[in-house]
Amino acid sequence: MEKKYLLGNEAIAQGLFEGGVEASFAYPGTPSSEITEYLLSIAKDEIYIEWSINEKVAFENAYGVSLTGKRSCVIMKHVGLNVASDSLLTSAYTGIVGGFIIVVADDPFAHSSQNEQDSRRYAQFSKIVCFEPSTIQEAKDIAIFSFEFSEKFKIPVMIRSVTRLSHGKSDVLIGKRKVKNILPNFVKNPQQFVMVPANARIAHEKLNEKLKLIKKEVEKLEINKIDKGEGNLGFVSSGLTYLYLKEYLSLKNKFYSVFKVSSYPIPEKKLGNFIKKLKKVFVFEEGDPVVEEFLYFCAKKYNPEIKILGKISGDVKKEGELSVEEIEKAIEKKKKKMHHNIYLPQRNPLLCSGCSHLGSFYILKKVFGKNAIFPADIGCYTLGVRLGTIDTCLCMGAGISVGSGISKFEKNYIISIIGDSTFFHAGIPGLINSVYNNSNQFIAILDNRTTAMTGHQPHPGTGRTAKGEKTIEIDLKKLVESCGVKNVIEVDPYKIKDTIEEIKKIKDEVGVKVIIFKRECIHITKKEKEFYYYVDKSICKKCKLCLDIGCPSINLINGEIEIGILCSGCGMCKEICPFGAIKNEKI
Amino acid sequence: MKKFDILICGVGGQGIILCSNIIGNAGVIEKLPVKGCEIHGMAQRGGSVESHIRLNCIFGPKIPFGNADLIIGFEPLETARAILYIKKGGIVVVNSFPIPLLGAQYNYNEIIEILKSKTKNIYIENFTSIAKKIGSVKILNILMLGFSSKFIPLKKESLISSMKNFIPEKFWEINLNAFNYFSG
Repeated sequence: MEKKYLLGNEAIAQGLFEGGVEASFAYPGTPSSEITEYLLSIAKDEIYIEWSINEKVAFENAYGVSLTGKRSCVIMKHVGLNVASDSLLTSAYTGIVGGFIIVVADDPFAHSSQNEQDSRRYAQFSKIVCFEPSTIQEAKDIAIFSFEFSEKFKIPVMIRSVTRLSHGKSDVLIGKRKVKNILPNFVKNPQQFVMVPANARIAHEKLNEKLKLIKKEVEKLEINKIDKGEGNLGFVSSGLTYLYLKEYLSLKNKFYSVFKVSSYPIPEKKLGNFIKKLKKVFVFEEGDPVVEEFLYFCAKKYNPEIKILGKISGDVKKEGELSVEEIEKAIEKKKKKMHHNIYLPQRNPLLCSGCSHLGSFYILKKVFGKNAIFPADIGCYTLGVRLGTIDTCLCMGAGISVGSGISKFEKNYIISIIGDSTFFHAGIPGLINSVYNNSNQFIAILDNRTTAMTGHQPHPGTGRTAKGEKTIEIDLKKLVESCGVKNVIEVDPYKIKDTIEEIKKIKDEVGVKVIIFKRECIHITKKEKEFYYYVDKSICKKCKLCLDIGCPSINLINGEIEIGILCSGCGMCKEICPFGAIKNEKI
Repeated sequence: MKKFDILICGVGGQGIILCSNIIGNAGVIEKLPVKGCEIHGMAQRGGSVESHIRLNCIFGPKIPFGNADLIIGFEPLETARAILYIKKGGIVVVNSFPIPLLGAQYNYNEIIEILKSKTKNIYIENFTSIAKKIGSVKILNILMLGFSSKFIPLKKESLISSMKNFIPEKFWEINLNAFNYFSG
């Protein structure tokens, strides 16, 4: 068989493909986005693939496909599951028809997220099944197997990945795609699919019965594996942590027994028998102490004397990622030096040179002043926190509603910041609510014509589908107007002076005012740089006003303002220099 | 062959991921188990990037501190940041050309001293200026890969054949020249 060097996410996509998925739905989110991107690259013509407006919509679409008997999947990052959770919890009650997989990529250490929530909790909460791969090859294999498992028990199956697995790479065996040759057939069955109270009560009972069978089944699964070793100290681990642990033991030439947990429900008997002969057990897992809590339950039945060391006992840190180093620290109780003796300045995440958000933020600060409040949410623009134009960030779409709440008491200007893709995702109900309930705030939609931060995926405002086909382009301005907003203006963030004047005209209007800052993300414009920009040192008064825009290309070097090589040629700095010291020349 | 851990570090936009994929794929061409991962911040461009490639490795994607056999540093400050990964006697190849960062200063000489104090097997060269001289700063990654290839336990043919999978034909010539620059 052929082997490929794949990203974890690509391996998951390959597994979904080989497992015969016929429809895939997702909203982009780091670290999950490459799964859909890879599916698009290998199977555009064989699979229905879409970028959905948000995770809830994606989930329901995939569920709908499953009801026709076809295999489907929905892909998201961990916080996306919060959005889809309403549908998730009841889908466990109804069960499914065609194999239905929910791929969720958790982000321990919050590399690119607002929290470190553990999706395994959702699997338990909703009473579905969750598989957690430990290697990238296993991630692919589990994706194939999950379809069979899902169909066998008519239950949604979650695959939990983490950043290091999704963005890790490995040699992976490539297999053939197997598609079940069945005709789509939606069979009416209100008792199963219509969750009115009378049906829900029965469905809950059935689900609990199903879980009993599943608990028996997971005892037999080989992915819950025991590596036999010596001594009365043992280890239990899950996910990638299993590999960290194995590497640690190998580095130290130790041969202890290791139990690898890969399914939730966790096999109680198998784990119980494993701990029977042990005096002490270490638990390593990323996220919440899900396995560890279960171990306490198991110990009560199988070995009440055993000492359990993990997050609950305080032996393993509760936050962030684990690693070989963290495992060493937990076991050997000594601090290994993992820092430098001298200060190394960080390269902080920055908005790009030429980013239209830089202009939008500069303009808003100029018009509304220092005391203005900027509730916001998730996107590249969250990086505006460094510029003082982001005051809150909870989750997708939160800015508008948080701003609305603040406006009920605060008398300062409130400008809620949201991106175009985020506005479609979760901003619309907040906007309508704000209008309906007479809030007094500005909403700035930073429309850069793409979902930039996750890698430039299209959205309903771009007029393109995931496969690149043309579709109806939802007009933001018309949409906002139809929500009842009287004052809507569309402006160009590059035209700083004009835009400032334009906004001043509606500055003191009452009610909800919407400013759409429209300018393509510099990474999707195909335009070559036309002008080269430089500072004429004979004119420059070193007033440093140009630094206010926060462009990473404008630096103060040895007391002089310099425009660096990253300059994209947007010209915003030229517009704000009051002395005309920033000049350009045609390239 | 024993396990061989390589760490490539630098700044977003320097072509690190491509370089790392070329090595990883070359490993797969030689039928080795290969693991790897990338660590980068939220920035589109200009942030720190760290890529791990683990040849003949059956463990996790990330190299533990003190285990890297080879570090290829595309930028001096980033190489200093990653130096905790180097193992005793490990090899460090570093590009001496610094990329400034917004609103912060650092002492270049101090950085180089730190690197030198960690290993005797260190090769410091202004690869950026060589890249410019022989074509374009865009081939920096392949130039540094070419220089480092003598330390990587893979056949030169495997690396070149892997390069073919990633480099478009119209840039092939200039990249191949960059790869072979040091081997004459």
